[in-house]
Amino acid sequence: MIILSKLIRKGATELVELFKSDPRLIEEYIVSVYEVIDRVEDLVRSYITLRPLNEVLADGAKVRETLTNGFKGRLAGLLVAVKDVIVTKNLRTTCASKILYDFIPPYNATVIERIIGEGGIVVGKTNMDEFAMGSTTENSAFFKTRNPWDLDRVPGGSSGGSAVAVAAYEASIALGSDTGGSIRVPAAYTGIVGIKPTYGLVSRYGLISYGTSLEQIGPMARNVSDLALLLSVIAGYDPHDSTSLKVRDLNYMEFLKPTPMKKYRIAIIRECVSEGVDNTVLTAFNRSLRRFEEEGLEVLEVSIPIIKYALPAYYIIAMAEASSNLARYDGIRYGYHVSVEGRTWDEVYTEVRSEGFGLEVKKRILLGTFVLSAGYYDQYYLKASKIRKLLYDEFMKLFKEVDVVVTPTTPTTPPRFGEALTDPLKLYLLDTYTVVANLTGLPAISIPSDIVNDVPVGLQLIGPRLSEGYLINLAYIHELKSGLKDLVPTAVSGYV
Amino acid sequence: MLKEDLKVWLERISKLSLIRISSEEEEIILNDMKKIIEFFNTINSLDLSNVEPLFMVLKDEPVVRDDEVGESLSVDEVLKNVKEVEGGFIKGPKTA
Amino acid sequence: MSNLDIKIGLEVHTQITSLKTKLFCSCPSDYRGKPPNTNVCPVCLGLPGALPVVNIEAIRAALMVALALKCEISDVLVFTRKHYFYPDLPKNYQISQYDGPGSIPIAKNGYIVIGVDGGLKKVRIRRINIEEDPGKIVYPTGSLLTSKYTLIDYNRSGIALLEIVSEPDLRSPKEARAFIDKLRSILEHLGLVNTELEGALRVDANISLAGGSRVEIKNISSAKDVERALTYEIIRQSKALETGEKVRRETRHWDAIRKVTVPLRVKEFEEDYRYFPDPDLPPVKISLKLIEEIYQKLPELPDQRIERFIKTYGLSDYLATVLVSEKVLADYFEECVKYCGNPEIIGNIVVNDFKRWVDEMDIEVSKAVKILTPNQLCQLVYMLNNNIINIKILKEIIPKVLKYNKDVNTIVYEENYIDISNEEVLMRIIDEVIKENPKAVKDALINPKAVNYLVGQVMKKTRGRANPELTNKLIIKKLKELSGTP
Ligand SMILES: [Zn+2]
Repeated sequence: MIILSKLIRKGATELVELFKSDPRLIEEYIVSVYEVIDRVEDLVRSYITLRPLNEVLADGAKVRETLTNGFKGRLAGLLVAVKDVIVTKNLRTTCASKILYDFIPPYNATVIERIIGEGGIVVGKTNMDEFAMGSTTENSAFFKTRNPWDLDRVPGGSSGGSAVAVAAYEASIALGSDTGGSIRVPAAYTGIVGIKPTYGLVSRYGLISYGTSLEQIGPMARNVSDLALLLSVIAGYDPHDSTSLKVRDLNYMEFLKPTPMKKYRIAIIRECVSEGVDNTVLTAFNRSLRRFEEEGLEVLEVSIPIIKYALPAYYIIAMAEASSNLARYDGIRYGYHVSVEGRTWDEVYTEVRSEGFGLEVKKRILLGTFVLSAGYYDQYYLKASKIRKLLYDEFMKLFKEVDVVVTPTTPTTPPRFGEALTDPLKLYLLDTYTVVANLTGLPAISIPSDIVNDVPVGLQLIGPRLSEGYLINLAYIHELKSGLKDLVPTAVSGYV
Repeated sequence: MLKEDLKVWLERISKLSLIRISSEEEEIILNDMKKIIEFFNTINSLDLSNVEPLFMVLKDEPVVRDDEVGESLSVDEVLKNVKEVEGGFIKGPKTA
Repeated sequence: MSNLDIKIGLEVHTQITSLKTKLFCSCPSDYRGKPPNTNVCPVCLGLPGALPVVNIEAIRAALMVALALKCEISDVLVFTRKHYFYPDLPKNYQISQYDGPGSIPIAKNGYIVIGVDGGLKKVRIRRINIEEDPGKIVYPTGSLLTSKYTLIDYNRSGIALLEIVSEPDLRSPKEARAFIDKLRSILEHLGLVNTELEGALRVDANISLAGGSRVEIKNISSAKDVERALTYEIIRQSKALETGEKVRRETRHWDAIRKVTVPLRVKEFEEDYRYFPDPDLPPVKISLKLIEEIYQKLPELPDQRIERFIKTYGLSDYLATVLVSEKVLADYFEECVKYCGNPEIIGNIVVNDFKRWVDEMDIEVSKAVKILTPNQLCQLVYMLNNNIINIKILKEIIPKVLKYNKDVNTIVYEENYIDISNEEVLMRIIDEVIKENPKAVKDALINPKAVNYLVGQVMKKTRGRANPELTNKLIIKKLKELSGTP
C-alpha cells in the first residue's frame, strides 16, 4: 500500500497557506490527489472528464512560479472539481447528456475565469443528472455515481459528481449548481457542506441553463472554511449576467467566528418537521437544534401553510423554463448530429432531440411545453408563479421576525439505487425542503447534521437575502460543536 | 386538468417540442405524465385570482450594457463544434 | 372590388442601424459584407451557458420611435421568449415582446398620419416590440422551396430590430405604400435607421377581402414591393372569390424575382409560441424622467418639417410632402437652398427632375446627391437665372450628370449647351427655317398659333439652345415684315 502524502486530508484554506510558504508542495499535492482518484474513482465514478495529470501538473507549475513571484491568489494551487453543467474553454462540457457528448466550449464561465484568476486549477468535470434534472445523479446519460458512505446508495443530485469528488478526496473543493436543491441534497447525502447563494450573487454566465429564474452556482466543500473561501472568490457582480447583483469584494472568511455574530432568532417551520420525515432525520435535526440552543440562541416554531404547494409550483416553473432553455439543442451548431441533406428541419431536429435527450429530460421538456401552451398557461405556469409570490411574501414577512429558518435538508436518508426512480413523484419529493430557497431566491446552506448508521444526514439553514455571511457563521459554530468536518466516508476510508 | 385525451395530448405536445416518443417509452411516459399532471393539479384548489404572479426574484435593477463593441469569436471557434460546414456556412436542413 | 372591402395591416421590421452593437451582445452591428459566421459570439450564437444583456441604446431608440408614433409607453421593459424552431434561430426561441400575462410591449396605441388622395388619414399603430433579428439562410441548390439543404450565416443573428405593427386600417396597396414611406421617413429623421441598407426594413403584410380569410405575406423588402405584393394578392383572391373558391387562411411568401406570392408549407398544428417573460432579462424600469429627456431631444419630425418647408420656403403642400418623404432628399433641398436661395426653383427641380431621374435610373438618393452635389445644382440654377442655359436644357442636363457623373460646367460647355440669345445668330437661323417651310409660314400668317411650329423648327436646328422667348419674338417680327410688305 502506498503511503499517501499528509497533504491529502488537509482543507483548502490550510493548503493555500502551505503552498504560499512552500510553493513546491503543489506538485506533491496534485500527484497525491491523482493517486486518490486512481484508487477510488472506479468505486464512486465522480468524473465525466478528468484532465490528464501532466496537463494539471503543468498548470500547477505555472501557479508555483507565480507564487514564487509574489502572487497572492486565494485558491493558488488548489484542485477544483467542476460540475459538467458549467462551461470550460477547450474542456469538454456535456451536461451528462448524449446531446452534448462532444461539446468543446470556446469560452469559460465567469466563475471559471475567477477561479483560474485566483490560481485555482480545474481538475475535471463531474457527473450529474442530465441537464441537472434529477436528485440522485442516476439520470446521467453516461454512468451512475455512487455514494462513498454506502456504494449501494445514491449520492444525491444533481451535483452528485461534485459532492462525491469532494467527499472522496478526489478534489479539494468543487462547484455545483442548484436549481431546486441540487447542491444541498448531494451535500447532505455525502456529509459535506454546500450553499445555494442568493439569486444573483454568483454569475450564471456559462452555467448551462435548466431553470433560469431558480438556479445558482455554488461551492461544495468538506468544511465551512473551504466553502467560505470558494464563495468569496465566485460571488459578486458580473456584467455578462443581467441578473447579477451589484455587490463586490465579498469576503466570507470574516464570518468564520466561533461565537454568534448576532443574537440569531431561529425558526423551524411546522410543515417541514411533521409529515413525511424519516425518524432518523428528525432525531438528527433535533440534536442540531440543541447545539444552537446551547449557544443561547432562541428557536421558535412558525407555520407557513402555503409551503405545501411549493413543490408542484417549483416543478411547473422549472419544467417551463427547461422546455424553453433546451429548445436550442438541435444538432446544427454543436452536439449530437444527424445528416441534414434532403431532410426538413423538423425531421432532423426531432431525430436529434429524440435520440440525444434521456427519458427524464424528455418528460420535463414535454411537461414544460405543456404548462406554457395555449389554453394551459394560466392554469399552470401563471398559477405556479402566483404561488411563488405568496411564498415569497411569507418569507419576507417571516424574516422581519427571525434571522434564519432551519429544516432538514431532505426528508429522508439517501435512497438505494433505483428506489427513487420507480415513481417520479418519489424522486420529486426529495426536493421538498430545498425548493423553497430557489422559488424565493434566498440563500440556503446544507451542513452535516449527524451521521446515523454510517450515513450522513443534512441540516439546511435558510436566511434572508444576502445573508450568506451569517449562514456561514452559524454553520461554522455548528461545525465546531458537532465536530462534523473533513469527514472520511466509510467506503473510501481505506484509500485516503 | 387536460382538455383532451392523454394520448392525443402527448402527440400534440411532442410535435410542439420536436420530441418523438418511441413505443417502448410511451407506456412509461403516459403513466408518469398522468401522475405528474395530477400532482400539478393540486394547485388548482387554490383561488389566486387576486394574486400578482412573481416570475423573477431579482429586486435590483437588471444589468444593462453600453453600446460598445467587444470581442467576437474567431471563425475557428465558431465552427469547431459544427459537424457540417460548407464555405464557412453552417449546413442546415431544408426549410420547406 | 371597392376599396372598403379590403383590410390591410402591416408588420414592419426595422433594424436599428444607428447602433454600434447587437441587441444583447457586444458583437458589431455592421454585419454586412463580412464572411459568414465571423461576426458572432457565444451569446448571439446561442451557445449553452451564454446570457443576453440588453443594449441600453436600443431601449432609447425604441422610446424615440414610440414618442414619434405618439404611442402609450410602458413603464417597464419586459422581454418575452417566443418559441418556434427554425434553422436561422440559434436558441430556437426569439427574444421579443408580447402583450399578455406578465408581458407587455414597450409601446402601444399610436398612430401615423399618411397622405391619401389629397387628404390625410390616421393609421393606428397597435404596438412596437424590440426584438432580435435571426441569422440568414442561403439556399445553395435552388430556392426556399426546392433547395435540398440550407446554409446558415449567423452574422445577422441578434441585431436589434423594432417590430412596428399597424391596425388593419389600410384600404389599398397604395395606402400601404404611403404608410411605409411615411414610417421610413420618420425613422430616418430620428436618425435611427439607414433604410437604404439591404434588409434594414422588412415587411409582412396581412390582407383580407370581404368574404375571404386573412392571408399573411412574408418577406417583402421595399415599399414598392409591398404595393406589388398586395396588388398581386388582391387580384389572386378576388379571382378565387369570384369563381366561388375558398380563400384559405395561410401564410405566403413574396417572391421578389418572379413577383408572385407562393404558399408556404401548411403546418399540421396551429402555431403555439408559448410566450413567457424571459427569466434571463429581468424587467427594466422606464422612468418618466427618461421619457421626458428623450422627448426633449427628439429631432424635427417629417410632419413638422413639411409645415416648415411650406411656411419658410413658400413651397406647395405637394412639393414639401415629396421632399420630406425621404430625409436625404429634404436635407439635399435645404442644403441647396442654403447655398444659393431660390427655394421654389430648387424645390421644383429636386422633385420633378432630380427625384424623377433617380427613381427611373434606380440609383440611391444618397448616392445621387453626391453626384449632383448642391454646388453643382446651384451652378445650374445660376446659369438658368442668368440666361446661360434655359429650363429645357437644364432638364436635359440633369440625367446626363447623374448618368455620366460629370461636372455640370463640363457638360454645358463641352456639349455646347449655352443659350443662344444673340439676335443676329438667331435671325440667320430663322431666315433658314422660313425658307425651308413655306407652307408653315403661310399657315402662321393666317393663324398666330401656328407660329409654335416654326419656333420648334428653330429649337431643333439649335438642339434646344435657342432662347425660346426671344425666338418667338423674332419670328413674329419677321412674319410681320413678310405680311406688312405690300
Ligand atoms: Zn454576439
